[in-house]
Amino acid sequence: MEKVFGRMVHNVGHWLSQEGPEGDVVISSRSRYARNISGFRFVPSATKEELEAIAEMAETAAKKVLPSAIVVDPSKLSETDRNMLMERNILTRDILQANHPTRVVFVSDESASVLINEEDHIRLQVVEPGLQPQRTLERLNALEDKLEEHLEFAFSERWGYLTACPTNVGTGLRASVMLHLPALVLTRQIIRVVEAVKSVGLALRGFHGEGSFLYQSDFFQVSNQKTLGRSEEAIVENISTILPQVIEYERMLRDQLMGQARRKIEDRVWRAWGILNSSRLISTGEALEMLSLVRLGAAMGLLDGLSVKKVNPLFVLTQPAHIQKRLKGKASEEERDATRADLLRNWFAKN
Amino acid sequence: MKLCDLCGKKVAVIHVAEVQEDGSVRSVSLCEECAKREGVIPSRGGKKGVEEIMEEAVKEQEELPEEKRAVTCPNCGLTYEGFRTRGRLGCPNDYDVFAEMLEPLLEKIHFDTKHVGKVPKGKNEKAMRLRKLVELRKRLNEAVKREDYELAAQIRDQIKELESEKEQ
Repeated sequence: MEKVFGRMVHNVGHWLSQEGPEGDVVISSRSRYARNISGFRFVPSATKEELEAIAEMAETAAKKVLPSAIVVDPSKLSETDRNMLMERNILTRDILQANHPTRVVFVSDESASVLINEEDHIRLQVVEPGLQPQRTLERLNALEDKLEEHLEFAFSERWGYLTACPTNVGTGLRASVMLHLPALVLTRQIIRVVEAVKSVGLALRGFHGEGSFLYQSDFFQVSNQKTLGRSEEAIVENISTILPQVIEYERMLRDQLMGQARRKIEDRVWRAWGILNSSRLISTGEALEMLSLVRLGAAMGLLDGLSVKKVNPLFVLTQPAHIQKRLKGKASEEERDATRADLLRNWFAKN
Repeated sequence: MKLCDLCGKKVAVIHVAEVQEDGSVRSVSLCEECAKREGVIPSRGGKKGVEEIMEEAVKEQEELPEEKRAVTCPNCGLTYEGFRTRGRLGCPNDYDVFAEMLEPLLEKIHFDTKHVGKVPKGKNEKAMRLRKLVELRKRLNEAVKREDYELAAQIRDQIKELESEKEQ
């Protein structure tokens, strides 16, 4: 197991290491089903014994469906390893804070995972690089069909798949796409997109912005709001119809900025490049901000052939727990910032 | 530290570029409050996700009579009031026991109160096909409304295929 976590400081999941369709703007596509095993109470009402039984059942089933998967009991991991899984989007904060039996099952390329006893007994998730919502749904359906051979899910003719929170009932499907929208942020147009997307039943949220301050980075997640009364295909179709418009808007603004403010944009991108390649101490926040600019520069071909694919893994690898993992033992903030700066310089120095 | 360009009092936390009419670009630094007021970032209230919609809908049920609040699920022991407090149900059975109160809530969240889509295998296949047909016709209407004729044609083919299965 230590080997698995040790490798994580160098590699990221398939969804971030590969460039997918519309990779200049789209990072990844994700779909997940919320399911509960029939005959049991939902997580918030179940006893520890029930949850342990559920965890064992679900784990056994998940291992049959994903034979090569890694199975982890988050409560048995070190804090650093747990946080690394969260930074890699495998674990959620909910499961991290849970005070009851939970499990996480994921395949080594991190393209499929099962969270056991998060808000629902089972959260089955599939991720692909770039804009491929349909493909994620196909894979998700195939996995769910197999899981169903081993488990019976709580289902009603009228309400569909039953979930602990009524916001997930019905299909239990949350389909989302992660986007990099620096030009929309820079030109303040992002607000209009938020409103436009909302009017068609989707939500656009800042990916790093959990606090009172919504947009802490240029990364966003678009997802369906409603799970009841629309089929899985229709939900994904809606996203596939709307997303190209958001992507085109971002591209148009990038072109406009290049037409009208080329020097200023080039200056910002190259300065960011300078900082990433010369700093000796860099915080998580500054790295994220500079990497976003460099990613924009790479997508627009401003950085002498630097590819988006080369930049992408750093968004995860420079996160605090990933840096802490390289350090072994308790490190000071300065040591972490120094390690992050070294990683960045070395990363770009190699080819 | 740079101060906000608008109020000049608070520390600027957000930097935006504005393309002027003459094509030049001006950069503006704003504090959090000014940024919210100017619509650069939405204020907390502006963002209404499903969770917020649900919270509101639950709050709106203030007038609910005592006997409805006290409805208890014999299976998990949760009362409807208990659900209102924590926002999470206790077991699958709650959906039936609380159906009367949940229905308006689900209507607000999803604009719908009837499941369409995937059904566990082995559940009545005929029912599933009929449901699929209803769903396809709904999508066909939407596609035609959007003037997406290519998609409409695809959906029409799927409907034909399903209907022919029925005759067999």
